[in-house]
Amino acid sequence: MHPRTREKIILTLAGWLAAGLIFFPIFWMILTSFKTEVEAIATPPKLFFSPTLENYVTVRERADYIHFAINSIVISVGATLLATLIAVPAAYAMAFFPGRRTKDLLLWMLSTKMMPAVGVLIPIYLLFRDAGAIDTRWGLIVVYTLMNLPIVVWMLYTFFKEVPKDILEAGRMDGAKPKQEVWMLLLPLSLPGIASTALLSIILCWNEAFWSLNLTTSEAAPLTTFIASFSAPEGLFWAKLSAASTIAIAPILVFGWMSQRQLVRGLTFGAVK
Amino acid sequence: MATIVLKGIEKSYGTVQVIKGIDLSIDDREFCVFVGPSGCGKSTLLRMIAGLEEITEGDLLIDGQKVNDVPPSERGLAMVFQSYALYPHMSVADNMGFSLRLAGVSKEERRAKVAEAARILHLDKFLDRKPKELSGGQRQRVAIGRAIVRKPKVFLFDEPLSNLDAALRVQMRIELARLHDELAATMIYVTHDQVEAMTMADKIVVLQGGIVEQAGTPLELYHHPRNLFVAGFIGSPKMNFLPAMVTAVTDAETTIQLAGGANLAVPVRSGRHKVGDTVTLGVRPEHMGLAGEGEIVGEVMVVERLGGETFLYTQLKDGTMLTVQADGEIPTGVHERIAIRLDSATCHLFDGDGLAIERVQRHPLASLRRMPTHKAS
Repeated sequence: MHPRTREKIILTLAGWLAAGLIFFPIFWMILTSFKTEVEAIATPPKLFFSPTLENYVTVRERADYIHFAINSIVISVGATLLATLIAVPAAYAMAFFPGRRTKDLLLWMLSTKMMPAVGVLIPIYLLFRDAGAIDTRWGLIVVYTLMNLPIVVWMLYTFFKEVPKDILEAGRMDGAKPKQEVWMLLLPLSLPGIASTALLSIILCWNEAFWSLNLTTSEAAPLTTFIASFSAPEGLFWAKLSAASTIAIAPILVFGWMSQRQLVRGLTFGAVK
Repeated sequence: MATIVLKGIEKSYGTVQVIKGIDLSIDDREFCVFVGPSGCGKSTLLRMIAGLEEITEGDLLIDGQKVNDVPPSERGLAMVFQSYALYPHMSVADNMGFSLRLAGVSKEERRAKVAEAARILHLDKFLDRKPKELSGGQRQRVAIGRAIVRKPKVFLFDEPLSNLDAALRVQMRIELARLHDELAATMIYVTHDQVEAMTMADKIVVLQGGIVEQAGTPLELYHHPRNLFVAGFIGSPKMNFLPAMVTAVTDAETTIQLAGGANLAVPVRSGRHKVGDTVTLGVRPEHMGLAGEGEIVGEVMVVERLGGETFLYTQLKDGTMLTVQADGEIPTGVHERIAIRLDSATCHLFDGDGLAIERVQRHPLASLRRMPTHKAS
C-alpha cells in the first residue's frame, strides 16, 4: 500500500475513533432515555431493549419544559447579543489601533477564564442578592456576558485582524466616521466570523450550569436547572434524567448541526480562510 | 488650486525615527513622485499627508492652511492604495459612490457623478459588478474612480501599479498621465520604480532613510544628481562608479586618473577638491561606447541582448565591473576583450563624501517639465 494512502486510512480511523468517543455519552444518554429505570441501571448494560416513551411523559408531567426552554433561549441569546455589542468596539480598537499593551490586555482577559468560577461565587452571590438579581433572567444575562466576554473579544479580534487595514483606511479617506467604518465596512466584511463567534457564545451559555444552578431557582431557571431537578434526594433516576437531558440539549444540538460549517470556522479561530 | 508644503516634517514610532525632517513644497497641478528603496519612508510620508499617520513634528500645509490635526476626509484629498482597498461587499458603482453617500449626496446626483467617472475610466459596463469579478487592471481603475468621484484637490497614489503585470503597468502609466492632464489636479505618487518616476513626474523626490536626497525634474536628477545615491538610483541600468584620483584641477575641468591608469578630463567646477584627492567617477552605461582601442580595456562577462540595445557586463583589469550599453547589432560575445570609450562631457565626479562636484555646464533640458506649464483655467 502506498504510504500516503495508509497514512490517510490511519488518520481517518483515528478521526472516527475520536468522534465516536466524544459522541458516545450523548448516544448512550439518548438510548437510556428510552429505557425503563430498571433497564437503565442493569449490568451488563443492555443495548437491545423494547423502547418506551414513559420517561418523556413523566418528565413532561413533572416540569414545565417550555418555561425552562424559553429562559434558556432568552438568556443565551441575550447574553450573546450583549457580549457582541460590547466586544465589537473593543476588538475593533485592539485590532486596528493597538497600543503597546494591547497584547498584554488580551492575554489578561483570557487569563480570567483560568480562574475557577467557584472562586467568585460568594462575592457575586452577595452582589446579586443585594441587587435583587437572584433568579432573574437579566441577572444571568449579565453573568453569562461577563463569562463569555473574553472569548468573544478574543475571537472577534482574530477575525477583525483578517480584514485588510487598507479597506478601513480607504473608508476613512472617503469620510467614514469610526461608527460608519465599523457598521458599513468592518461588520459586513467579518460577518462570517461574527456569526461563528455568536454561535459559540450561544452554545456556551446554553450549556452553562454552575451559575444557573447557583443563581436561579424557578423563575429564571434555564434548561440546565431543569435537568438538575431530576436528580432527586431519593436517588438518581437515570432514565428520567436522560430523557430530561435529551430534550434539554436537543434544540442546541439541532442548531449546532445546522450551523456546523460556521462553527468549525469559529473554532479554528479564523485560521482557515 | 492646491499646493502642499511640508515644513520640518518628522515621524517617530516610539524611539525609532522614520522620517527625519522633510522640507518640501509641491506646486498646484504638479505631478510629484516620491521614489526610493523600500523602507525609505516614502509611503509613511504619503500617509502622513493623507492623515492616516500622525505627524510627530513639523507642519503640513495644504493651500497655506495647517492641516496637521484635520481628519483625512476633510483635507480634500483622495488616495489610491497599492492593494486597491476596494470594498468587496459593494458593487463598483457603490464603491465609487461611497464617499458621496457618506457626505449625504442625493441618489441621482451620486449616480450622475459615478457615471461621469466611469466614462473617463471606461468602466461603464462594470458598474453592477463586485470587485472580485474584475481583473487587476479594472480594479485599479475602480480605485482611481473612487478617488475621482470625490473631486479632490490632491490625489495620492501609493504604489498603485505594483500589483499589475508589466504590459498593463505601461498602459496604466499612460492613462494616469492622461488623467493628470484631464483633471488638472495636484498628484503625489509613491513608487519604488524609477522608470515610473522618470516617465510620469514633473518633480521627483528621492528619499532614503527618512530624508530627501534630492528633489527636482526627472532630467535634473538624471543629469545633475546631487550625490552617489541619487546617481545610482536614477537611470537603468544603474550608473557605473569607478574609483579615481585627482591629478590636475583648472576652472574648466578636473583631470583624474582611474585605478586602471587611464586619464580623463571631466568638466566640473573647481574649488571643493584638490590634486591628490580620491574621487569617484560616475558614468552611465548609455554614455559609453566601444572603441577600436583605448586605455580602458575589459573582458565581457555577461551579454544581455534586448534587441534594440545590448548591455555588456565587463570586468576591468583591476576587477571593477562596468556595464556598457552598446548597439543592438554588435556581435561581441562573452569573454571577448573590448576597449571602452568614455564621453567626458557626460561623466560625473563625486568627492570623498559622495557628493557630486558641480558640472561646469547645466544640461539644457534639466529644468524641462514633463508637460508645458498649465494655463490657468
